[in-house]
Amino acid sequence: MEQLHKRATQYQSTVSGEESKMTVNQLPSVKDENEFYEQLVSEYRSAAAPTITESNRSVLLRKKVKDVKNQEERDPTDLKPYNSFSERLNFDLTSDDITEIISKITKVSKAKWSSIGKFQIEVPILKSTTSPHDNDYNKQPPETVKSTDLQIMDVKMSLAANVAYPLSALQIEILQIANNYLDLYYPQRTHANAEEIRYVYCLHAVNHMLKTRALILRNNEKIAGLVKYPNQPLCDVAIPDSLRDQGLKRMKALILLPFRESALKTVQIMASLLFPKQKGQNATPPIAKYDRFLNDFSGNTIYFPKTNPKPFDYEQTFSGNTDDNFKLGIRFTKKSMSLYTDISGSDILIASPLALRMMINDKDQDYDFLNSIELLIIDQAELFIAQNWENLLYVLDHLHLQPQKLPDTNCQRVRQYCLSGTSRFYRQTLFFSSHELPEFRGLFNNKCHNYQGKVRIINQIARGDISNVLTPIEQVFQRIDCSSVETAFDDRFQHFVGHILPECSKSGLSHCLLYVPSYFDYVRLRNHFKNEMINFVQISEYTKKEKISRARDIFFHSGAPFLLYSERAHFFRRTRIKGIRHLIFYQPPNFPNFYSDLINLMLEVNQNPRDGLQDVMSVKVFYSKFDTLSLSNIVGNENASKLALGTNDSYLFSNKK
Amino acid sequence: MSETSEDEQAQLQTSEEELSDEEGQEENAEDVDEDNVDDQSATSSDEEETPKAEQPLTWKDLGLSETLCKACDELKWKAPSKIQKEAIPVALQGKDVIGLAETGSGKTGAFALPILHALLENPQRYFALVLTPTRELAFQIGEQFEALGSGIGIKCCVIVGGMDMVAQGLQLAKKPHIIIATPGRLVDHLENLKGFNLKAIKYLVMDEADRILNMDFEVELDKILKVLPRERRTFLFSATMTKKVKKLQRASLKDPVKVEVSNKYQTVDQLQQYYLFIPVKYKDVYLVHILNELAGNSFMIFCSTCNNTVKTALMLRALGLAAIPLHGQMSQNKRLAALNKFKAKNRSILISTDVASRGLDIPHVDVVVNFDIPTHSKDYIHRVGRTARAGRSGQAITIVSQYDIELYQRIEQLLGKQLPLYKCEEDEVMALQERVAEAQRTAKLEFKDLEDSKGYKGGRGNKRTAASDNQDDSEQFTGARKRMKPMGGRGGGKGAGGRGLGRGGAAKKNWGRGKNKN
Repeated sequence: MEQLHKRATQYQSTVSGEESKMTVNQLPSVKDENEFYEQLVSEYRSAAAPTITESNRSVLLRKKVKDVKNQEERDPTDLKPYNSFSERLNFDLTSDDITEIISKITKVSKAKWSSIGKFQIEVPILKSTTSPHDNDYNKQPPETVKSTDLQIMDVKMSLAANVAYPLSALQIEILQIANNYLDLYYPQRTHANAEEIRYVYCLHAVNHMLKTRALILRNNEKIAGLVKYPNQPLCDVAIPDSLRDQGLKRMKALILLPFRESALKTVQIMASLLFPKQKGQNATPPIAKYDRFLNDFSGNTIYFPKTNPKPFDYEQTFSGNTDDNFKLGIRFTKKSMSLYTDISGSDILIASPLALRMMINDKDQDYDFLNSIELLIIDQAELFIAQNWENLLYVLDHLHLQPQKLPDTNCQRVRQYCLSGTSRFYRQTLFFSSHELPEFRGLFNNKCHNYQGKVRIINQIARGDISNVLTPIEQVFQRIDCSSVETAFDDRFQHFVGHILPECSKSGLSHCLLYVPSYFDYVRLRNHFKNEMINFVQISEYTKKEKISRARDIFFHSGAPFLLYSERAHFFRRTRIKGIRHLIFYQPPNFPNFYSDLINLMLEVNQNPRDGLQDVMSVKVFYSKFDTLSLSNIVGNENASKLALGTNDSYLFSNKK
Repeated sequence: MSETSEDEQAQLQTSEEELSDEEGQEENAEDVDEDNVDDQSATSSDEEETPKAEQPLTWKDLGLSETLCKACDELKWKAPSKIQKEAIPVALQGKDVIGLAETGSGKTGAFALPILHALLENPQRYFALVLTPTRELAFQIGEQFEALGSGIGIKCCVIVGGMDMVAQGLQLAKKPHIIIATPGRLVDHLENLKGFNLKAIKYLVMDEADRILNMDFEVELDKILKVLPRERRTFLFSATMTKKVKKLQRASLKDPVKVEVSNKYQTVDQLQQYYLFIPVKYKDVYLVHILNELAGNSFMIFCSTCNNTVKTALMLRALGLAAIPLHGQMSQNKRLAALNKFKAKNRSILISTDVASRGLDIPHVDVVVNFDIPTHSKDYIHRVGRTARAGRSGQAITIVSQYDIELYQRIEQLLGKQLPLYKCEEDEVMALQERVAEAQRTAKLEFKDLEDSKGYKGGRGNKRTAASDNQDDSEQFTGARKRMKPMGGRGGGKGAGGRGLGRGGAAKKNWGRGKNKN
């Protein structure tokens, strides 16, 4: 134990020594650096190796590392990952373990870090390991300012040198979680921290790729050493199990993004991490097909009007190329990175769920490449809700399936877990969204099975979007009783049609906007309106521009008392609907900011002074107890739980003076 | 199996000649190898003579390690069978073994135990390869290995045709200790699975060796033998063994020891064998009569062709008998399902081709009916060996028509005895005639429908999903298309590709229907 510890510290010191030299010499070419690093690593491995060589003793190794940590409470060691890359992947899950993971018996602990706030760690309790890293998370990860700090975190040196320092506290905290290969659910992505987050997950993904490649190269050499006689074909060599280092397919990481614009940014960050910009040079990074990429992925799709500007967050979301049908394979080779690579030969795939689903459905092509994904990153998940959530689920259901064709990789080097079909337990998922929704939680709980556990950010929402409401108005929240999630749709519809609608027509309600988040509800209501011959106009995401204008016009001029308005229509167009006197939320909006957005449309400026309704205005929100998450986005956690569980059926919020 | 190769015919004759005269056989040695075989067998039986006489041997006495003895006890294998007693010690000495023993005498154990013993001493991946002629047999041997090796963490892998290739590839990549395979699929994997080789194999077993060494598997076996290391032990096991030295040479045995429990082609004593001599047109009636007479037992009925199994099964079903067909043109999953239904006693009548004639261990089979007489007399031994297994009793009835006399005589010759006639009252049988004729008619219609809808054709050799109850549109289309291909110049189907297929297929199918009506 002592020895091991000493070696570890020695290693650290040598690294930092080399590092300083290198900065003086100006960075050598990437290749040299890689070789150098590989040498260094292999030395390190061989130094640590004598006692622990076999993969199945990784448990042992982990314990030792932990003990080392216990002995010494120095700052830098806190950065050391609890479960590094190789240990993670060499760990063999037994069938007992898998039943444990599936039964979701977990050890839950909570902690708080300065930037990401409170979070909850769920670690499956595995029989074959001692309970992993107790209370380790209570300690705030220290600031990272130098590349040596990142190297302690097991970041490849070639990367660490290129990172833009200092990293923000948020970045370090996320990196710390990612680097420990825990799943992460981060529902507080904003337009402000979007780039920071992107930077971290790119760093992690590239780091993961480089480590994988280094390992394979190292093993290639070892296998070359196993050849017994010259000209023996490599596939005839008996390769020991310890050298299993590949998945069935080459692709390791999958990044799901909503728009081409986000893909562009992601690739650019990866480029900057791998190929730092030399001073004074403005040349494009040495990436194959980079020009074509820039052509395809940049540009502006949506024109933002200068007069009557759209809301700020809308412009943020839809700036750049907003095409949502793209896929881009990236391959890392020794020196460079190539884009648009063949799917079966790519390391990372950046794609939209739509494009990926189309690939999966393509009969001429198999989707075997999704078998060996080790890292899944889902960014801007709320946009997938607006695009098509179904696509995302469909894609996730097609990960880790048994390939349809025999793999091209040497089967003696395929990792055990890929062969036994348990690779989904070895996939890390990083999930970023701007707010919480039941869909996100469902996905995170049911589709992510990382055996090392998951981290969920559990910050309380104190005030919610209701604080952004400017129109002085009373807002009524009315609860609909539903027995189960499955019947919630029906219950809501029956309640609305049975109670609310007659009331409305009885009181002669006009200028009433009915906001419907789900398109299915929208269609159902529309059909009902048509059947009942109720006078109404409608705007959905499929409505043509001219019809929208006409509908707005009719609505504004009291031509029709009802406007049926779908959430996606608002999301994609942000049309300014004028003349709303009564606003009914059929269900709390999936996008919390739409709540204030819509109510603020009721400000005096937007009203038709000749509608003769003066100050008669109302806002009603219908919710069921299953809407708690979207409610808390609007009214804050505390209020939401009161609304969901309280004895009364309706609640009133008011900002009238 | 149904086709008879010339070679096989020739061999059949020679072997019979050899058999007719035991002494002559020994002297008939054409080759040094053959000589060796016989010499060794003499010595080995000498060695075994002493302990056998005194008391029943235990597993331990055979020299097996304790863990294996325990495993045997757990499986309730009380004492080694004859073949096991003789073959295991020889095998443990590290010699090549040719094992000959009657059906149901525990041959699987005789090679599995020594292999597991050696594996325990020297654990290694890709340790042994077992080749079997049929898929069902492969699964059965796989189960035996699993059962014996469960305590010691043996990993087995069954590689047979008709099952998902990739799933098998993944299993192979996990480096199992023991591979049980049918030759064709194994070659497939050797050629297509990157990084898979058999360089490390220490033991090669050919179960039903005479069948494996037969012409049917010639190409595949050659390919496999080429990639196996020369340093290996080879075991050949069967109830009937080819005497052709050439064939044995292909297995490249080294100083093999021949272990023969019964050197005659014998059937078990508990087996009552009968024949029934009837005109060919009353075959069905007599079959139904037998089934009625012996109702309550479970039957295996052997037919010569796949079509016959289906027809007979349909006919029996029309009479309300729970019959299930099993033949080589069914998909592998259906084959397994059929076998499992029979094994689980959900169906009491299994109608099969010779695909099920060898090696399958279904203890509860009471009666074997040779509906069509086996073309190879050795197959008779295997067929009737499905019943009266492991000390139980059983019956075998062979239906002999006027055309089968010669074949039947060969069988009697092989057995070295004459079989008694199966007695039945002709009047009683003929009383069934009407109902059976009715059933035949319905069966014929149903069969025609099946053939129409599935493009099911008998001796095609194509893997067609056959006569079972599921309706699959795609199958229909491809079937119709394939069927039409040789007939018309209209076969533009190929070029039309997937898109044009729906229409073209349908049109052709109609055409086919019309033709059938004429």
